[in-house]
Amino acid sequence: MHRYNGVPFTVSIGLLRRYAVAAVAVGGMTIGSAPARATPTCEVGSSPCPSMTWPNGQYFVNINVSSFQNNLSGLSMTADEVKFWIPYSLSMWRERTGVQDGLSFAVGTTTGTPDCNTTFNGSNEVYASPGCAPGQSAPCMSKGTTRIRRNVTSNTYLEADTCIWGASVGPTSLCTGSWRVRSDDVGPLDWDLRGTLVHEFGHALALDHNTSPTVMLGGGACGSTWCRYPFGEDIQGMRASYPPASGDIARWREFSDGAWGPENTAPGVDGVWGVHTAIGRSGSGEKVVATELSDDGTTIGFNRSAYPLSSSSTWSASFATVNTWRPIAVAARPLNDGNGELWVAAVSREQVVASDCPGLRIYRSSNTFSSRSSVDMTSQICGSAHEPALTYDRSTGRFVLFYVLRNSPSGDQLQNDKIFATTSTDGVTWTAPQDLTIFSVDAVDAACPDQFSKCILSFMNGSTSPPRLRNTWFSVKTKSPYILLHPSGNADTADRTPAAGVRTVNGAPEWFLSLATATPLLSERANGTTLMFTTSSASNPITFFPWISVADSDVQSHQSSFASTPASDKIYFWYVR
Amino acid sequence: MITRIVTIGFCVLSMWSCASDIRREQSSTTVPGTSHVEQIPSPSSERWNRTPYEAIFAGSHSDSQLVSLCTLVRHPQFGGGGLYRVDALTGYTERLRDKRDEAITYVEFTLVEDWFKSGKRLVARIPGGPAGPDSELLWEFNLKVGDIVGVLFRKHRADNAGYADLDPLGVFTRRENGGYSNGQLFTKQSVTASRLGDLVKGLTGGTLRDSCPYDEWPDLLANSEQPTVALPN
Repeated sequence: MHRYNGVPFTVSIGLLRRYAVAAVAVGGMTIGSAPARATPTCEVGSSPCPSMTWPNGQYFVNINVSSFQNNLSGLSMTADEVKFWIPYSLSMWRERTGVQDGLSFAVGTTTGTPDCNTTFNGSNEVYASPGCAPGQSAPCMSKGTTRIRRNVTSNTYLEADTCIWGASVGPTSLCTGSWRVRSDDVGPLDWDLRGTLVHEFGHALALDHNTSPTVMLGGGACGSTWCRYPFGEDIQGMRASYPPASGDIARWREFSDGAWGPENTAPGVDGVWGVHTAIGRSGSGEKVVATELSDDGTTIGFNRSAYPLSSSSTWSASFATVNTWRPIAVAARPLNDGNGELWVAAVSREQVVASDCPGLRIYRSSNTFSSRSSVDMTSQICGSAHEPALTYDRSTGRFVLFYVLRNSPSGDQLQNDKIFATTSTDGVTWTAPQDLTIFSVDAVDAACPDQFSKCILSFMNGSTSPPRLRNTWFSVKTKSPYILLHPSGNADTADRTPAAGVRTVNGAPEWFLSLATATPLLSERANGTTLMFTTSSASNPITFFPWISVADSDVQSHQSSFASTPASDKIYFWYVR
Repeated sequence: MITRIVTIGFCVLSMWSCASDIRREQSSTTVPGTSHVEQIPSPSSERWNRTPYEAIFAGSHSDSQLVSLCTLVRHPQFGGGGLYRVDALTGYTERLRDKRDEAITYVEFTLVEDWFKSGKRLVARIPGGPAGPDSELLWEFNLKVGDIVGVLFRKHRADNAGYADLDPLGVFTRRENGGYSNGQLFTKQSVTASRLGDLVKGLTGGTLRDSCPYDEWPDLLANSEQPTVALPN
């Protein structure tokens, strides 16, 4: 990973201390009057701790399917639902942390009586028990247990078994609801199985508890869906444990004349964790700007080249120090003086502060990066906003910010993931957030074409019957209000972080959508491996053309992006491998 | 220092070997909630891989609800508590009656300050320890020999061979900020051992009450994020 002048390189002293301690934790079994073993100690709140990882980043888990079907109080699941939700929960640790090649999963099934004790059999298993944890009785306090066996010499995982305690809820429990597995919210007294599984898998992969409001928070509250998405220290810990491959390179292809061109590369500016692109304008002409978040979450890299791109395009980089662990969004607009302006939306590392507000910030820069400023959106958006999408609406001259709000402004317990939209011309004054009444469960992306009264909005939306997340819905909405016009492209088994784009062809918009496919049921990788997209006709209602595969192997990043300009019918698609 | 001298003297007089020796668990220990020494049978006829530890760490986890201090001391499994010094940590691989092999660590405590029906000398039996050649089952606790920790014990249970039982939420260890926390309570607010003891004593008042006169909630989250759930009946 590259480091750059002016970008502070900081490593947690606590992290170094833990690594140092762990490094001396070696030694075999002792017999007789052996000297006491110095075992590393970890303080709650440190992450990762004890800095163990799976050898070669390979984690194989077997699901005891039948145990989940009937052992969770108040929840019955079909075998297919079990086989979907558990790998899906596991996949959050790759998808939402960008560890990519550093960590891979394999998922299988196991049968037999759930064994939630300390016996090890060489197989990593996840199962549900109808009872409480040993030593507990109703109201039992534990939701799940992950027991880990390590290799003492190499300080690596040998086995990790996870048990979900099905009787954690009951009439005399602290929470009187039931276990729930849903694509949206759970009842205020219910336990969210998805979040519980993500938390336990965090232990099984690398992480200790921490005391910040993240997945690995050392305690859960019923009614909360908090733990569904890794954030902040979760991502920091996982990326420290399974560093992203250094060879990650952003790729792009150009769509013109009805076909996609060959794959080209652009150098990563500081590792590559997702790539978001925009085409802006500077005094010397239009520029393509690709933004990337650094491996350590402290730097946004701006890679810039003249438009149109070619395989021999040269790139120049600039950097901005940030404080974020989430993918970022970028949008550009031309200015009357012939120059342009870039806006970047980023969620700060401190997702939830004392006021319950997110650290969503807007960074503004001239297109030459000669001046920058940032605007803290806390006063405009209060709630656990995440997954920002930013686009420029040329017809109104306003930037449009979409975001997913994890808890409603009324202060509900982290429920109701909903998409909101707000617009601004100066980044300081924003329109009142508009509730799009879309209960989304995942990322949102948007694009607004030139001179048309619609924007395209793509997002993941779970179906509730059966409660799965197999569907990615693409929706086109008028600009104001953003009313659902055409829920189409409902792609079964499609998965994760869609991207949206639009270009102008003969005065009419042509819509582009992308998604990363996955084979969520017991696939070798609970993560996307193929990227596909489609285009639409210019007519309304929109008709989507058949899917076109743009990259048929091993596109591992779900952070993809389109970039286009009204001056041309070219559109670029960016992705990472 | 005085406490240490007393401890050494007690070790000699009571035939407790202060050096690690398996027979000590088989001879005698004190059960939480009582003040007398009980004979406790050996939990296993076979054990091996005896491993004394200077420290153990919480690599395994039981993940709990957010639980208040009142809930902890009013829980049906609450078996007394106090401020204790960790005297020894000794791990074994044990063969249980059902022929399973289990990694177990015995934690020897000496009472420093009584909070509620605390045993003076306790041995807790917890999962974790040597699990085979070059392998180790990680614990759910961060403990180090010599540490002074606040402990709210669970009542002992038959399937733990009569030894004292620990819950991760019942162990308050000293944090970098000098305060004592169980990972949920007092994570941001620094509470001394003395203050923690006063809080527990105030909640128990020498006997378990039907309701708590006050309570302390986990301070992991902002105030508005605190759960609003009822205490168990």
